[in-house]
Amino acid sequence: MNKAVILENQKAFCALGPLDKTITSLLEGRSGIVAGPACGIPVAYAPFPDISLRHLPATASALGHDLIPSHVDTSRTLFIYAAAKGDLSAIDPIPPVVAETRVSPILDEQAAAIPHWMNIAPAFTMVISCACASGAVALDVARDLLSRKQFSCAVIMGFDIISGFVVSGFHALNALSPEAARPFDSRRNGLTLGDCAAAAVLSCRKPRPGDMIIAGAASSNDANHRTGPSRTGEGLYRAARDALSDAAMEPSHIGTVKVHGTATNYNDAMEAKAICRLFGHDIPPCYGVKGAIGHTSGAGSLLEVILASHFIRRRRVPPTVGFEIRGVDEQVSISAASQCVTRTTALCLSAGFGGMNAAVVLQECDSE
Amino acid sequence: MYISGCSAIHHTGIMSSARGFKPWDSDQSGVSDIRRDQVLATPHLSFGKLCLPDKLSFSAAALALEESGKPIDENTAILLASPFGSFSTDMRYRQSVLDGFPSPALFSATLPSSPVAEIAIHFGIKGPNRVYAGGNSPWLSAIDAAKSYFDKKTTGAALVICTWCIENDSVTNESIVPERSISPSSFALHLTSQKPARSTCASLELGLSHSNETAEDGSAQERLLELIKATIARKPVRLPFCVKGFNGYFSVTF
Repeated sequence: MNKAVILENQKAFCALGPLDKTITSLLEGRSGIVAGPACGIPVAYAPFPDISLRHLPATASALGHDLIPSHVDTSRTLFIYAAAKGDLSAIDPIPPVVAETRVSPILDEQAAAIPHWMNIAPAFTMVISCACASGAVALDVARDLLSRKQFSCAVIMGFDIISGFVVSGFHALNALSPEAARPFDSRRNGLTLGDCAAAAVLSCRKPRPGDMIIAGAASSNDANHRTGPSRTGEGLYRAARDALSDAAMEPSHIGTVKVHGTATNYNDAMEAKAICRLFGHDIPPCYGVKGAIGHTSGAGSLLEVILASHFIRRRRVPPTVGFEIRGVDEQVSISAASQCVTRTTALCLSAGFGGMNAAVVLQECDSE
Repeated sequence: MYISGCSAIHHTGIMSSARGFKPWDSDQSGVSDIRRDQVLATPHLSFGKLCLPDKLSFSAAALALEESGKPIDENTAILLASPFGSFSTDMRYRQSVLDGFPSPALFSATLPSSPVAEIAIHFGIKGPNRVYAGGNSPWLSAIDAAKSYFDKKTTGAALVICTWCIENDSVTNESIVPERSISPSSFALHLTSQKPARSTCASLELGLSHSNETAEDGSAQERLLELIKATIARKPVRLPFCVKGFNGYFSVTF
């Protein structure tokens, strides 16, 4: 097999704890969502178990510790900070007290400081901020640049946390559910916000059996509405179609679909249309995680790709926590219980405000 | 690749390949007073309501697309470099919360990617999106991404927009505003992989080589302005640059 972009080591924290614990908990159908109020607003939310993780410097330091495997060439490292809003504690109008030291509210300035906290020395730093698709777009960017040999490896860090700023905004848009989000369920009533910090190392090399390959990626825009998704799902369909084309795959090659699944009426309906249009009547098992860890914004789309890679390795997909009765017209096969899968490929879907859509195709290498 | 259209909005006035250069009118205080009729021939109902970062990026894009004719390729990539992101709008939204009336309209614009939505919706553009909200030379990353899309045949057209916008007023001018305040400006290039039928377009070459340079040069605005001025004046130019991690050059020919 020729060289490919490999998802090397990863680390993450979310409402279910660190990455290993999160994977196990998701497969067991557990949720990290707690009852409100969140920042004074009566809605459920999914906070870090240890609230001190909302302090960006400490969390970046924890993610950076032992992150880069020794076999990865760090001679020319690309660092990408993927976030929708990052750390807004310095300007939060409803501030929770997390730490005395506050960081700049500007993503560019956070990105300039993070490599120091992570103890890495990048040759080049980028900030990718494509709303809730930021992490997935960052993977697309890193894949492109590593394939073109512009860098020897890439470190992507995503960080988006619950703040009064974000909770009040989504509440003003009537987008939050009073109870835990129920993706694709007939009783879904809005999204649940969550905390997330995630990091991944990528390199471009000849894959070995068991390696996880970023096989394809693409993005698109709905050109429809600032905050609402396309009613037809065309934008997400285009991103998924183009990601498959980038991976030189057909829809029939895909083993599982990680849905965006915010649990808003419009998102899930749009996504069901896009999935049906792409796969026709042969839809692989689909699952979402936002009913368990909340909607973790731009960083979440990185975390969800990381999680998808681990579910491929374990040949299982988790139950979609909160989902019981299908609440979309299309016959999308949303997992209500953990189930086995055989194919070692996954399509990961993300969408965000501004009509942003992104898709990433993962493939486990099964031969030299 | 080819420059099919370009524009610059900065403190001296507005320039574009379609309209040439026009200084600000005497009753305008500059960039923050930009009017719809100065950038767009057709109506745009919400132009006056747009936050300044969105308004500037949208205006630069509209001017760069003006010569393209209709319909605009719906698979055009939108590549936005915006080092300050939505900070000004963030501060306005924050104030609305402190005033007790969180504004959903303002909140929906508190993302660095917000201008992309405005451009995509108005022009019906559904192609790939990337928003470089900071880091080293985001303007270079955006132009390089267009070149990569063309090489891989992902799309044949790209709109590269580079916007520096941080307002300096009573809402945003708190102690948290960075000291590196910069006058608002926006630049746009409409790039295509194939030579357009019009004879007015320029050919743009981007050369890049790796370097161990660690210093970030702060002259991106001047360099982009020079590139756009040369394109509008139809004057061949070669612009070398040295940024963190890369040496490179832009070459504009006709």
